[in-house]
Amino acid sequence: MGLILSLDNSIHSFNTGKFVLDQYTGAAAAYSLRRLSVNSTNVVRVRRSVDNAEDDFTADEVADGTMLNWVNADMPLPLDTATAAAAYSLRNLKTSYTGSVIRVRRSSDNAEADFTADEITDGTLLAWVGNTASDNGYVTTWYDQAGSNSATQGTAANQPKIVDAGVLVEENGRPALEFTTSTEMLTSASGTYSQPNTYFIIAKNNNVNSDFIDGSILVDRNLNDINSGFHRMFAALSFQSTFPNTANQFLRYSLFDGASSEIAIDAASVETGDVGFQGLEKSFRIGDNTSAFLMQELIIYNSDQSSNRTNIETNINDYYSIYAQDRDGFVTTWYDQSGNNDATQATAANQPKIVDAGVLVEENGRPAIDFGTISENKCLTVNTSPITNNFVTIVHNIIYKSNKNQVLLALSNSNYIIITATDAGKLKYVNSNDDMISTTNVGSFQLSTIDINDGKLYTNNLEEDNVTTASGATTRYAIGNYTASSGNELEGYVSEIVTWQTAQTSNRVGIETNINNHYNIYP
Amino acid sequence: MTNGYYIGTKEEAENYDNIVTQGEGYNGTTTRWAEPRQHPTQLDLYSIIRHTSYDDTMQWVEVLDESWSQDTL
Repeated sequence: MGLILSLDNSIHSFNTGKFVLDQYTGAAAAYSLRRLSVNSTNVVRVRRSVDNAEDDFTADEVADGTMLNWVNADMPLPLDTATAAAAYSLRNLKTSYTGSVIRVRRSSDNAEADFTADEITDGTLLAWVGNTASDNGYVTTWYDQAGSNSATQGTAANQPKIVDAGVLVEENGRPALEFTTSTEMLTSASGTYSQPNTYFIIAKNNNVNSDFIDGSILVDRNLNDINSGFHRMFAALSFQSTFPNTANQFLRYSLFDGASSEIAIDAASVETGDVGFQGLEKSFRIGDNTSAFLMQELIIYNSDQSSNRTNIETNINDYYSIYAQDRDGFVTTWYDQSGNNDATQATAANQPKIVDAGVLVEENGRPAIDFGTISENKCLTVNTSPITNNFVTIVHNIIYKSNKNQVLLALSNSNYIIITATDAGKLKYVNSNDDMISTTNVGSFQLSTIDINDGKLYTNNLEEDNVTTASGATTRYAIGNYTASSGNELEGYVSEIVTWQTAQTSNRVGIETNINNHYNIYP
Repeated sequence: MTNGYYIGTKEEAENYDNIVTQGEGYNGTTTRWAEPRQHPTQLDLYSIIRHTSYDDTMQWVEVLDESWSQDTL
């Protein structure tokens, strides 16, 4: 006898068919985030917001955290994502990097020493520099983690600070280099990085004008700067964003690619334009005598990294926490566990959520699908061959709207399960014969059973309406709206929908018990 | 800033969808960002959900008023 461990950790037998679709056969469509049949494989396909990747997941993978971990996955370090031309930071930018990130001169005796990223944050640097008001640490070398083009400053008065009066210079809890109008760092490699070039800069500007990086001899320039308070880029031509500099730490993405150049701040594109043709002289400059800023990271790719931009920005933001970035998981497909009537949504903005801000969507402790608010028009649809439904079960928690007819499940042009604006929150089964309506309001986690064959509607196992004749023709399944473009959007959560072609009147209690044993909806 | 909506012409809304769709590089089941939605009575007006990473010069509103909702039932 084969055994399988289900979502609720109970033991089910292959041969005795304890999954609901195996025990009560004849389903037309079955959508759930739990396993409904021994034959079930994937229950949901998910798009994660961080990079728009998609993947399929089984019920076990939804329940055991596999899917959630995938949505919340760390993005690789920037230099593991793509090869950079030069990269400066106070953290390690690739997994294999173990070297020093800066060389520091201390003010007490002008001794110099190298420090790794860990030694900056674990107190080693501060202990070496000293922690009194007269102790300062100055960066003589910002090591290039991508190659051999380290940025240096041999003149003491022009070296940026890393320790100020015995305190580590930090921004938003992470170490930073403090550049003023008297500091700058230079590289010395010869040659030019021709366009396209991509820059990721993590800084906080403290001046109306600041040059974060530019070619040092002003022949081949990729100027990334703040000009009169606005982010600008220049490479023979220039364009300036309307996005103002603020007093906040920012992540700036600059793509130098001629007429297809772009600036993005905190992962949002703020300007595109023609920046001109120049490359970046490898003997470039970080800061100058017009600039004042804190800088934490500067990565230069001698390539167009727009395709990796999201991954790199996400890795950076996960470390520096510069802007809010929710990790969401969206349902692109709710698989039909009884056949091929998979419910899908190809339009990103209309996909309901299964992970919201990094947290699995749940109702009563079980995974659920969040159809958002009515203004979001989240829905899943599938057209089917004409069939007749005789029995429908839905586990849901819908929010009643007094100005909206909300479709929970549409079966055809004349058959749908709806919460109408005029029924004060009752669930109604509309069909071409006699409608059925609940007496219990929506707005709580509940099980609705529509026994079309027997003409009865149940809420939480209790009969609430009966009619002489009801019909259940299906030409489509639309969950969350009447059609994808109509104005009958849903607000709330849906955990499970199963429709049976075969009459299940005699099995109703068994089916409802199976559902309730899993979801624990009513006593 | 919340997502909100942009309101413009059909061409502007479709262009915006194209920009976001190309920028996001969807692959798999997902094929596009958002479908422009025609106003039920002002037929030259279209709305489209704003993507927080892509700004546009179209009119932005936080929520669409009820005139945009066409009850099909």
